[in-house]
Parts: sequence; C-alpha cells; structure tokens
Amino acid sequence: MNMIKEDPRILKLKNKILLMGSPNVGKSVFFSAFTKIHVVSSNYSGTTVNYMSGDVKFDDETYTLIDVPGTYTLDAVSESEAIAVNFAKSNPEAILFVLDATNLDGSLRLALELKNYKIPTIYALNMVDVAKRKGIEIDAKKLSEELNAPVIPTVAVKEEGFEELKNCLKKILKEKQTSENEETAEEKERSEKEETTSEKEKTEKESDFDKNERMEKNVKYWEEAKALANKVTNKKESEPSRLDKLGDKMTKPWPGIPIAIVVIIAALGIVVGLGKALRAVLLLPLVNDIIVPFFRHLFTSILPEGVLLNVLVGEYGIFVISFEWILALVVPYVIIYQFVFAFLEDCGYLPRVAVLFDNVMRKIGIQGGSLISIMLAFGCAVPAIIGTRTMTTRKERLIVTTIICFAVPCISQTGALIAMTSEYSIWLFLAVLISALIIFISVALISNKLIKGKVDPLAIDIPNLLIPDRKSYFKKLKIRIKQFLWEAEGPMLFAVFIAAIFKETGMIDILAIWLEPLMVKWLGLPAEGVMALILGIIRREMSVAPLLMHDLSGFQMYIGAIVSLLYLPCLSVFGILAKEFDIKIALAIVILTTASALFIGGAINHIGMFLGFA
Amino acid sequence: MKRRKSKRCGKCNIYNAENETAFVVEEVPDLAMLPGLGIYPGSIVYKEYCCRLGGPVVLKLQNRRVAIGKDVASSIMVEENSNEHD
Repeated sequence: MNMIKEDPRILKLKNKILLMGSPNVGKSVFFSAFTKIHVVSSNYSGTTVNYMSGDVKFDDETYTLIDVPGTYTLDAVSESEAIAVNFAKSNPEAILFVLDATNLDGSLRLALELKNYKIPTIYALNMVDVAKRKGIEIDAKKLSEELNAPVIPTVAVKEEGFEELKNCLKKILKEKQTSENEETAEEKERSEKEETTSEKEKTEKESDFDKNERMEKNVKYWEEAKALANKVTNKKESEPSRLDKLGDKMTKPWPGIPIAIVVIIAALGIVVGLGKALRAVLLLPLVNDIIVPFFRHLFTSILPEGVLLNVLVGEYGIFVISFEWILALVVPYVIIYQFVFAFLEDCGYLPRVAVLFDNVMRKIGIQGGSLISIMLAFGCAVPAIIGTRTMTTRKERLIVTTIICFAVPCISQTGALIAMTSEYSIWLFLAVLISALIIFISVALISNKLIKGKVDPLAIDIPNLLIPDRKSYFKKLKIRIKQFLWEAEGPMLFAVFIAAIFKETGMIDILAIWLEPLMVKWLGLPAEGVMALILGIIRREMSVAPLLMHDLSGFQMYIGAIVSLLYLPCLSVFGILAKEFDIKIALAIVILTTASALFIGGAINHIGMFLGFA
Repeated sequence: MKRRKSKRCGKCNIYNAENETAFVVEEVPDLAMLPGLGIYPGSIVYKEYCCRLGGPVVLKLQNRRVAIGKDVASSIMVEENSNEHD
C-alpha cells in the first residue's frame, strides 16, 4: 500500500483506474474490497487525505486502482482536493465514481464536472439502504441513461452490487482497449498534440478565470445536478426513523450538549475502567506470575550472574520491562480505546461534536471541524497531523498541529498516565486532565496570536447517523491494532533495550549525577527518573513508564505527568512534522515542547513547595 | 431557544434569519467551500436552527444537512422563499 505525498511518477503511470467521489461516500470501502488492501474508512469527510494505490486484475491485465481523496468540486480548495484534480488530469483508463444515494445532487454535481474530462466512467450508487430508510428511491436505470454510463446500486459495507460493478468495469476497460487499438499511430499523435494544445489553452484560460466565472460554472453544475437528481428520485414523505431523530437531537445544542458530555464521560469511563480491569485481572497476573518468572527461570539456568543476565532479566531487563511496560501497561488501554473510538467514528458522531463545540473552538482561535483531528490524535498524533491536510489554511493546520504536540497525549501515553495517576487516586487523574485542558486552551490562544494568517470558519457536511456495520467495524479494529503493534512495537522494544543497557551498565547512574540539579532540585523528581526523559525521545508513553518503577508521592506523580504531557513528541511525530511542514517547524516544536515541559514542571514543583505540597 | 435571535426578513443574513424557514440565497462571501456545499446565489436553503453563543447555523439542502460557522453565515444574504413547493 502506498500513502505518500503526491508523486509525479504515479500521475504518469499507465493502466490507472481512479476511485472518485465526494467526501464520505465510502470510496475507501470499495478500495479495500477491490484491492484486498485494508484501509481505514469512517463516517465523516476527509478520512482519506492522500491517495492510496493498489493493484487490481481484470482479464490478466493489472491495473492500479487509486483511492483519490474526496472532493466537492474540481476547484481544489484544500491540499487533498488539489491531489484529486491532478489525478483527474492524469489520463486514467477509467473512473469508478461513487455516488451517495442519500445526497444524490451533491454527488452528481462533481460527477457532471468530471464528465468534461471524457474519461470512461461507471457509477456506483452507494448507500441505497440508508436512502431507502429515508424514503428515497432512485431509478438507477434512468440515471444510467441520463449519464450515458452504467449505474450500479451498491451497499459498500456489505459488498452488495460489487460483482456487477467489477463486470461493468471489465467491460468498459475492454471497450476502451478495443477503441484504442483501432486508433492509428497517426491519429494518436494528432490527438496527443491536440490534447497538449487544449491543456495549454485550458491552463491559460484557468489563470484568467475570475471569481464570477467560477461561480457561474458552479451554479451551472449545481442546477444540472439538481434537475437530474429530481428526475430520477422519488421521495416518499415518511416519518424520520428513530436513528435519524437521534442524529438530529445530537446536533442541536439541547439536548446535544448534555448528550455529548455523557458520551465523553462514558467513553473515558469505558477506556479507564475496562483498561484498568483488563490490566489488573488479566495482564498483570499473566506478566508478573507467569511470563516474567518463566524468562527469569530460563535465563538464570543457562547464564551466569553478571551484566548480560541483568540486561535480560534484571530489574530493567528486556524480558521484564518489555512485558510490564508494553503488554501490561500500554496494550489494554490501546485496545479498549480503539473499540470506543472506532464506534464513534463509524456512527457519524464526531462531526456532530464539531458542530456543538464550534462556538467554543472559535473563541480559542480554531473552528469546530478541527476537533476531529484533535480527537484522532488521542489515538496517535501521526495520522492526526496528516489529517490536518483537509484544513483550508496553513494557520489552522499549524495551530492544530501545535495543540496536538503540546496538549494531546496519544493513547499509549494516556494509558501510562492513567496507570500512574488513577492507581494512586482518581482525583490525581482528574487534576492531570484539567491541567491538560488548560494547556490545550493556552496553546491554542498563544499560537493563534503568534501565527499569521486566517482560519476559515466551519463548513461541514453532517453525515447520517448510522449503526456501524459489524464486519467493517471489526475489520477497522483489526487494521488499527495491527498497525499499532507493527509501528509502535519496534520503537517500544528499542526504548526497552536502551533502558536495560543504561540501567544495567551503570550509565543511568552517571547521567543521574550530571542531571541531578534538573531532576531533583528543579523538578523534585528522583535522579534516576532521568530515564523517563531519555526514553521519552523515542516514544511518548516511555516518558511515563520509568516513573512507575519509583515510589513517587502524589505531587511528584502530578509533576511527572505534566512533564510527560508537554515533553517533546516522539520520533515518528518529529518525522511527520518535518515531512508535512519543514525541518524548522519540527525543530521549533521539539525545542518549545521540551523547554515548556521542564520549565512548567519545575515551576509547579516550586509553587507546590512554597504552598507546602512537596 | 430556537427563535431567540431569529427574525422574519425581506433580505437579511442567514444567521439572523427565521429558523425552520426556506430561503433563496442572494449573496455569498467569496469562499470556495460554499459553492462546493451547494450554497450559491439562487440556491434554496432551509434554515433549521442556529446554535447559541456564536455557534454555527445548521442548514438543510435537499437531503443533506450542513453546518456553517457564524462568521460565514452572517455574510450569506438570503430572502424568504415565497415558492411554497421548493
């Protein structure tokens, strides 16, 4: 699977089939089913912010199917929409266009604009089940005649209509091949020449395209799309279903905000409660009573006492802390979080939260839609930062990215923070939560003042509220958990290895002496807690895990949690910052997060000492 | 709550316009995302409600619902749609 920033080579690639459509019509589900490459799909706009490509075979011929980011028009507004435009211009073999049966006019508006590119197209009329629930019936045959192309009704999450779709695709690809073979070399050359000229004219024309002309063009496409949608749609006035009624209520301030508060508390309660239960009942006994004793017994029976044995099964031994920190500390919270978050994503709840809290977000300088990226960052900051590409201004991207790096702990780090604080007292956990909220607001306000530019206001499609399809839901969970294990396991094991070497070779004691003024005098933490600062460079949760090895007071835990929350983002985040923005921004965020973590941690310690907490 | 800030209007902005009423869009600010969502001069929008304290306006366009932030909504000028069947 490829998920790379636009690569000109893929635009030049032959045998391309584009998977296109408006945002949130289910394109990624089609992509997964056709290529057998599982990508994550969700019930809100902008899940695919870059293209995905995968091979698909029709009649012994291999094609590259490209899942193009959803776009409303071909006047690219955001970075991800610009990618869609470039693909449409890249001479593909065919387009598989996904229409949303519940929002036909919106889908047809883009479909009609795309028809100008004269690319063989077949249409998948998706979500016919949801449309039926809403009393909408679409005459696919009539629509096919109007569009002069096949239109196949589908329910993507259940793969209904997919066989017919594949057969149609094969047919139009074959027809295109036959017509190309008939074209003589001379004709081809001429048409290529014409194409180049028309492309040139088009570019020149586009540069002159003023706002009025663009608006006129939009009005024309919308009017055509609406007329066409009305022609083929039969809408029965029916009582909204219970789900639709609930969806409406969830978007209105009353009772939407109380519902949102209940949902947030319930989600947090499930992650904390079930995560703690899974850790206490199953994983800690498994690690402490079975796995670690097994490895201790194994290695002590074959190795003599010394550094090597300690590196393997000592206090910080690889075969001890890798299970204690990764399996018993991080994994339970990650799994439970993914269950909860995937449910909220798939039912279409997140855009409703964006609408409800838009006014609050505007007051701190961003807009409600940014909340989706921020909520995604609780899973992992990397896809959340990539997801900011859907934002229409650089200022908004930078503010949201800064908030994610400073104030949003990833779920692994959250798990470690929960384990450290809530096992001491639930009040300590709540104090950290409130502090994180204060940091969040402060970072948003400060970056809004410092970063030049503007933030566009909210303009968001509110998706249908759906009961997640069981199959897609579990498939998504499998992808996310596998992805976590694949991507996080390596760096976590590396951190564990570094910890074992530093501790068992005595290097940590030397560092502890050097950094004693910082750790003990300034931060009020044990000198050996310096391990947290070293490992935190590799993974965020590793800036908490080593602190669990010390007998800290509640106040020290609070300082440790705040330092860890603010401390520099992990190596993967640094990499994505450099890639998505530039190295200067990545370095600036690293320096600022580290400096603020140490400064604020120390300030809290000294204020606490003054007030008599320490 | 729903009619707190709303008013009947000849020509007014959609933020201040009556809730649960259909309007014809007269003018839109120069924001490329609006035509993409189906909000352009001449389009018919149904204003469902407005969220309090500077929150967004929720509009219904055919079978879709979209939320528009206050800043943009205040610049979208509309006139009540006299054509009942729209």
